[in-house]
Amino acid sequence: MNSSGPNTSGFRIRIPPEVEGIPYARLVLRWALPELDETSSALFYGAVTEVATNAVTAHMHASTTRPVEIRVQGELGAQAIEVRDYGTGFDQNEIKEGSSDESGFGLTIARSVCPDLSITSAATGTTVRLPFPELTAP
Amino acid sequence: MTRRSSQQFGVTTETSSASSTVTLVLRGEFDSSVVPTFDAAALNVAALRPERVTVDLGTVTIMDSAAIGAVMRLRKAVLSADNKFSLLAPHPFQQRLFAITGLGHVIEATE
Repeated sequence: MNSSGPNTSGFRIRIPPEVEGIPYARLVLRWALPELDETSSALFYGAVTEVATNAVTAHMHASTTRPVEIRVQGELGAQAIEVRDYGTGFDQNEIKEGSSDESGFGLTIARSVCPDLSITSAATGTTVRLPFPELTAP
Repeated sequence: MTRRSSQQFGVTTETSSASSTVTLVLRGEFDSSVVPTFDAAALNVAALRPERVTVDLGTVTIMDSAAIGAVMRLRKAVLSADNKFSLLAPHPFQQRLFAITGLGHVIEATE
């Protein structure tokens, strides 16, 4: 894994298409981004984990060794995390959320935790954008 | 506020011979990358055929759907052997995750 940044305009982490890389990405994100309360942190980074796991799985299915990219974009306080994979994309209408399939559960969890999550998918890959939670005053 | 250091996953098995209960005490970040570690511990526990298996998530700081799936697989194996299963998930984020996935009824249930 390697990363560039962080700075106020964003940075990017690249992880190999293996789930073992996800905890390290999470560590970098938690270090670089504003601190959250325990519950918000667990839910938000859990959602990021779900999306990153789906991205790794997409690379495995596409048999690509290209890294998954996790980008932090935006100025401090209005940031979002984007997870970009180079899989073969998917039809969002075919996702069965809440199914017994863990990937279906994963997207259900991510969408429930981040209602403003957005997905862009094409044959060249998928980008999922997760807005960072609003910070409450201390 | 949360600690920003990495919280490595771990499993400790506690056995109570008097009640024939085995408790899997989990800690740290429980995601797909460490599910094989959990599965190995779960397999060992299931082989003991205790009357009750308890999974304690009290010191788990992050979970994902793969982790929930792993816990549910152990529950299914325990119940199918006519034994009892308990899940301790005291943190609000854990209760929300199980509720989102329609599995809220599993928490702290004694079956």
